[in-house]
Amino acid sequence: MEVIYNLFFYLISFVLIISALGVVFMPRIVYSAVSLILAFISVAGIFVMLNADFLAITQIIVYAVGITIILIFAIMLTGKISEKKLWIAFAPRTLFAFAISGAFFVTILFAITDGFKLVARESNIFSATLPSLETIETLQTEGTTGIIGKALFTKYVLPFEVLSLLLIAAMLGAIVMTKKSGDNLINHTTKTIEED
Amino acid sequence: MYISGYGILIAFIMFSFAFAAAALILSFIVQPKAPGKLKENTYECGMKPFGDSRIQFDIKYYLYALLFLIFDIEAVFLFPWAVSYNKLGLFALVEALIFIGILILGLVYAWKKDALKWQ
Amino acid sequence: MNLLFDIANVLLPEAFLSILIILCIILTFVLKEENQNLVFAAALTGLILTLFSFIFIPFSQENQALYGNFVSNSFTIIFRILILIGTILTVMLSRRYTSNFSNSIGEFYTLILIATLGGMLLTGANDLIMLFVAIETLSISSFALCGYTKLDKLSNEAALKYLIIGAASTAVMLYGFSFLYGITGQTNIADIIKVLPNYQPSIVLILSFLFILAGFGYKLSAVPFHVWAPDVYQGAPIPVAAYLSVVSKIAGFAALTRFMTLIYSDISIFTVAIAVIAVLTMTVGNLMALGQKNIRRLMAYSSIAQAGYVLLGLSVLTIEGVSGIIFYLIAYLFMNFGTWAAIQIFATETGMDSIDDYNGLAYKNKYFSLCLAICLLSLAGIPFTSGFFAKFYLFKAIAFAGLNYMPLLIIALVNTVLGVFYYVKVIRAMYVRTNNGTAKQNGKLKISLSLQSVLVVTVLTTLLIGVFAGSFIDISKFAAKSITINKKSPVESFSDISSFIR
Repeated sequence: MEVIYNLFFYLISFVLIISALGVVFMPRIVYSAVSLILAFISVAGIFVMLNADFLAITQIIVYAVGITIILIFAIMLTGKISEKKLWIAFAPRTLFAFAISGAFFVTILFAITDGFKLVARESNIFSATLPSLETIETLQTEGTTGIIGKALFTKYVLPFEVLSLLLIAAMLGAIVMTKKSGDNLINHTTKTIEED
Repeated sequence: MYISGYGILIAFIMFSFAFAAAALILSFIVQPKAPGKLKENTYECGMKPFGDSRIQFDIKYYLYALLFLIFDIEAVFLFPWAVSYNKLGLFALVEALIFIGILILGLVYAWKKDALKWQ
Repeated sequence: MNLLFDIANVLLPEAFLSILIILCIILTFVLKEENQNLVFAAALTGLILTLFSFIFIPFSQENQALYGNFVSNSFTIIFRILILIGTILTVMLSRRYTSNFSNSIGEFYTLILIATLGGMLLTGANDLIMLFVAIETLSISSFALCGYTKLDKLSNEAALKYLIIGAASTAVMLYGFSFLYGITGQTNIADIIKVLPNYQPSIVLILSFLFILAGFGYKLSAVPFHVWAPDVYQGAPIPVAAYLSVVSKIAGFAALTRFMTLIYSDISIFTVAIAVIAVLTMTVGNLMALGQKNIRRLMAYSSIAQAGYVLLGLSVLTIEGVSGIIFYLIAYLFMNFGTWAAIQIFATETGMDSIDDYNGLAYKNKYFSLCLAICLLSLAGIPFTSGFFAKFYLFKAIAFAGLNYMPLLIIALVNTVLGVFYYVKVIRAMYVRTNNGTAKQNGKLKISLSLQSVLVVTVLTTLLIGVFAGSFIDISKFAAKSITINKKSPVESFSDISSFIR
């Protein structure tokens, strides 16, 4: 079983990395968006393998569906550039960005593997908080969704209720921003955008 | 291993991929091939397409996408409540009702402000 | 019932505010567009009622609510009151501004109220998840408010910059939270403090600190994370710019102070990082402000520099430092709001916001110029204004923290002198220069009642804080007492840096 588990893990990780690279290197932005869907679904697969079933479902419902729709609509809104070929230009600026993100990556890798000790269980960074075997057992039999539900309505009830107001704020903002009528919403001091 | 619960899902995915692939491959093998210029032409009605197939969308589509996302997230948060509803009792019901109530208020707002109306 | 007791004892103002928000949303869609100014009245009365509801909350004892998600003690109460006062001033500042809109008036006030709820919850949040939800509530409403004048190019730019940098820095902050959660296995800060001492320090802890600092640094517009500030303050509606430069910052400082003192207080490398950022923030803010021609950009850099002074108070991590922060923020709230109110009045009447447009203003508008001058002098820290006492008290706390902090004190003093130049530049424009050519502001400014009252209230309070500095310092001291700092001695903490290099 261990072998099959590992096989699936490497398969999903491979798809994830390839599709993530696709997001960056695809010549057309719509292709990138489609590649992103595949990346999101692969992440959901990784969540499944980590026994985080609720996260996997959330990943698919919110990211692979909701966020991608928003993204593709945003691309469609900007009609003029959607077909422009996007290649990464190797200007000094790009190299600088690569260097920074590379250094960032190495630092984080160094930190979370406790100085490149490759087997995470040997390191003592997160070992204090590893769940007990019984906890893992209950998670496997019951699934995480019910447990998250319980936590959401007891321990995290305040953030949960505030979240509804957060979503309302997002909705108000979205409606005000996209509503057609509203032509007089201008500042006192600055020029307005000319109507085409 | 605990992955085994997903065995059926994996088998299902594999079967659906295999089925689609088999249908395509089979039809490719069985089909008679006799391509010609006339055959590749557009069918008699309509004219040849021109220009770009992608046009700039109206911003009102985006509003729907945003509203969809907001209610999508609401659904995600109500899902764990539905799963553990039996164990949580009245208090959680009240909380969930407040949560839903506030978001219904948002829906009523969008409705009243004609945000849902196609202009 | 336990829950209702919690709410009555700890979260009463927030509960009031939530009801007010719901009421405002209902009013927004029930009322016709012409009558939407009623939302302003509702918001203002509601906010004042909310302010009075603090009477029912025990001031001097520490109470937790809802499974330790929120803590109410004298420190958080004073910050929540400051945030509410700031919001009341913002709402009054917006009255004249929104009167030009023919629609979407109610939403403007509702968004301000939701942002305020986020800010108030941020000050007392005692759980990483609560903290994150609160900071997002504050941010998302602010994004929408920044781009509210959507046909305005600069407002669009402001919203876009604020949104993108905000999203990135919140993501980084969340990553830092995830490290902290990975180390301790807890989200509640009280539980984290219990687990953390058993944990052998590693680079992960430093990374978590730096990531969280990046998130807060964005809210406070501290220097490596400040680039959004000038464009946003210039482009956003003026009441929103005032809100961001005061209320949002106060909320951020409250949360950062609690975070620093509770979690990251015992290792000196963290205070060094704060000190470096403080020095950078005030120096860059002041130097960049010197060359500004636009008063809104000037105020943006000024507020960056001011944040630097406050961060300096945090870097010493003493009770005196914290009380210095509180007193400074009390003074900052009023003097900065006064300046923004004056900018708003000038912009509404003349439609201009460059410093040259203020030339010769004092000849026709004596009282207005005097009010603006008082606020600017207070920001500069000229003696016998509230800003002077605030700076003095803060610098005193740094001086008493030990000889190690002497260089910081000297840099801060040099910066204060530097700051005087650009504040005086505006005053000189008003009083010394004459108005040649710019005819628009030649007459007397007609000031609406709501704007007038904001200006008068803020200027009078600025003066009053200067006169009764002692009692305000007492309040700050009392509020700071509820903060516990378990700092090791410098020698001890220097030795534990070596433990990171294993």
